[in-house]
Amino acid sequence: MTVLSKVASFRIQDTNIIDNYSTTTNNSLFENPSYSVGLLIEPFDSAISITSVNSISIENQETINTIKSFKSLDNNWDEDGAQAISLFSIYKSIEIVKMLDRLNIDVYLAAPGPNKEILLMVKTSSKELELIIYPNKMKFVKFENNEFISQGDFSIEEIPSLYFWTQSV
Amino acid sequence: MYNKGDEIIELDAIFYRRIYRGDKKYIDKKTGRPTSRAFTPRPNKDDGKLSVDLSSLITPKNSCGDLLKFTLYSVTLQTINSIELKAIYDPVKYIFNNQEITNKAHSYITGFDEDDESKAGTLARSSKNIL
Repeated sequence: MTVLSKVASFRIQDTNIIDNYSTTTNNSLFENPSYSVGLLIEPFDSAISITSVNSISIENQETINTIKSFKSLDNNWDEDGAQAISLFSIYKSIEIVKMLDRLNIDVYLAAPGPNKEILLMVKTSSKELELIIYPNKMKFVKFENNEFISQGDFSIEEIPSLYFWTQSV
Repeated sequence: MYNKGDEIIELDAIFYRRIYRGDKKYIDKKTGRPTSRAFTPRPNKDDGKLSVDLSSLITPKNSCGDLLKFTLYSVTLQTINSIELKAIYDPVKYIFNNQEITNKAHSYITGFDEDDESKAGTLARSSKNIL
């Protein structure tokens, strides 16, 4: 029998945690918007002990619902020529919110833009990190005390280090 | 007085930016501050320029138009110039309800780089709510 070599984290869709747990990759987690229960599975001989961990936060679930609502924005949704939000921007933004949630980070704000993009903001008392998700690129902008600090392109893998900047003194 | 195409250089000039208020999509609901997206130019529509009105030539109400649909924020020329943008005087005529309207206050902010997201964020953070 194959056993897990170390503690691993899983998420499942069903609250019947004994019969329906399933292993899954990080990527498929992002594609599945309905997971709601977290598990820690610790092998001990042939026995498996299961402990719940927090599911997605209420704040981030609300942010995801807000992002999903952007699907209904047609061209000229702001009566000033804004373009409809791209599906890629929507799916990618949800993926990023779920990743931030796994790092115990609540997204402060999600807002649509005029050029098919979505703005996600992570905020502390003095620092603000803007993540702007376009159909063809992802940009970050850092502000501290309302002053511009830096900007650039980012990839999903760089999100933790971008977030850690907001926590640095 | 400026002619169309002139750069506005009065240091105390203030500009109005009309922002769609529907469901506060461009507004941070917790602080009332507009998001950077409200100050993001539209390359496909305005050729990368940001439409504003010169406040000395128009009332806030006339600049805002439909108060149910739009809200009004101001930015100063000092802020605009501090991030290496320029304000250009650009009076326009347009048809509304079969009537020709002249907006003598219309201007635009130019100098945005499509890859530079910082300027829209700075304008949003320095803006003040008028209506």
